[in-house]
Amino acid sequence: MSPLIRKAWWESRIRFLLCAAVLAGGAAEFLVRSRTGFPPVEVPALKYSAFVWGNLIGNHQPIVFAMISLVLGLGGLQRERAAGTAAYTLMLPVTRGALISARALVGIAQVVVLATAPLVAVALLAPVLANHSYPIGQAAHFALLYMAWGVVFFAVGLLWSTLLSGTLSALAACVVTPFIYLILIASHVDERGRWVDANFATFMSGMAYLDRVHSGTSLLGPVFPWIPCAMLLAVAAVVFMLAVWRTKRQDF
Amino acid sequence: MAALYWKAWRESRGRFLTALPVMMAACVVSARSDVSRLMIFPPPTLEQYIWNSVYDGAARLLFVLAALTLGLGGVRAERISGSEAFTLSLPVMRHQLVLTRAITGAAQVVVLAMVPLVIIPAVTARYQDHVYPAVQAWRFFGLFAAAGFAWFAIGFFSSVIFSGEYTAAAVSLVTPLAIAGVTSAPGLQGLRPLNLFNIMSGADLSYLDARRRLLIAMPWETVVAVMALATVLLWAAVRAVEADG
Repeated sequence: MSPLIRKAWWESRIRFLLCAAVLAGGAAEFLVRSRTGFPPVEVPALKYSAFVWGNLIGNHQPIVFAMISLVLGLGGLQRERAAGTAAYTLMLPVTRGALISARALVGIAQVVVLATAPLVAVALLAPVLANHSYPIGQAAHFALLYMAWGVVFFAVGLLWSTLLSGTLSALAACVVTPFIYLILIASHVDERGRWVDANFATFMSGMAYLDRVHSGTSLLGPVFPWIPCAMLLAVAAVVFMLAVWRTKRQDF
Repeated sequence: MAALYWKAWRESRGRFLTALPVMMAACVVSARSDVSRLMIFPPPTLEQYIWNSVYDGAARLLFVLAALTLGLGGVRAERISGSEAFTLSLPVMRHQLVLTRAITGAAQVVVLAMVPLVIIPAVTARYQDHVYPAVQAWRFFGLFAAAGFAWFAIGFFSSVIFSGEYTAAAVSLVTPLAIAGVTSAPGLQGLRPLNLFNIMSGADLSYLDARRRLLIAMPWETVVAVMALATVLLWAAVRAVEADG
């Protein structure tokens, strides 16, 4: 399995490192802004935790992370078919399931790192560099919310990469997937909040789970959505199985 | 030349025809929303809501990503699929290949930029108590078309510089984040007018009425500057393809 993991890493490392560099740059820039530009002149009473939420967790961040997770799922045998190397890969003494599982393991690890690193880094470094503190437990919990939907999007990217043979077709599918999903789900989330966890932007930013007692902090309340997280992992597993099933039946 | 345009269209139509209906759907959903039932206090006006959801919202991000993706492809991508030699053996100059791809892509970007222009006034006329001002839609169309051309040029340039198909795509997709990050960094707020996202929506810029979320005037200097920058980038891409072994 180890050579397969290595192969999957080599194929995806540039995408991963580029995304990591941009997220790290964003976190570093945020830390500098925390030191020099917090609190903002227009909102002097803003809490630092709300500042973190607005810049690193809420707003457009979920959609950007969804896109990153989807793009990390691309690649695989369809791509190799276009490049002419699929035959060499298929000659390896391993099953197709093992090939795609190795890709999934590496991709999930990449999603976990990208979800965790910026928030945890800010929680650890903000007291030292910016003289502000952000609870590391909150960072970890928000990272879990990002991971839960990130793994689903990664699995969807993996599925797209097995269904669409053109590299750019798969990429285009990944670009529009979060938007199509948001448009579809917008009509199902009603005023009573049913299906609220199905909206990835709301779920990842923790909107439905923010502490209502201490409003204005943008910190998660005492109830963490473990069950929705487990359900999202189950959804990711089903999508992954579909990708494996599809790959096993393809002719290259 | 017509055959080259046909080739460029065939290569990019999948991406274009994927983005077009999604862009249309995003605009329709925003334009027919019942603004009075939103859980936002104070309730926004129609113009504020359209600006937040389309011109400064998810539809803008979708447009940017579509424009970047339309810039990808070309001879470098064909090298990976093995069809590069066939394309280069066509009895045309390399710059003709690149230019037809650029013109086709730019036309597609303009069509995508026209989606809010057409849909928002038409749909608000049907579902809202007043029509979204057509003059605003035209001004935002101008900004979207100009900035979209620049985003397209960035994707196009990446596809010429980077040989890995996913590398070019990844570079294209992280470029907006990098631009947004740099222009909001401490000490670099002076560069905010260079943020293409802000140029598209007018956010933090003098030509937007920040309270009403309406464009006060069309910033022609900005439009010309952005298009000039994009043209330079496309010219550099053409030169790079000509110099490529």
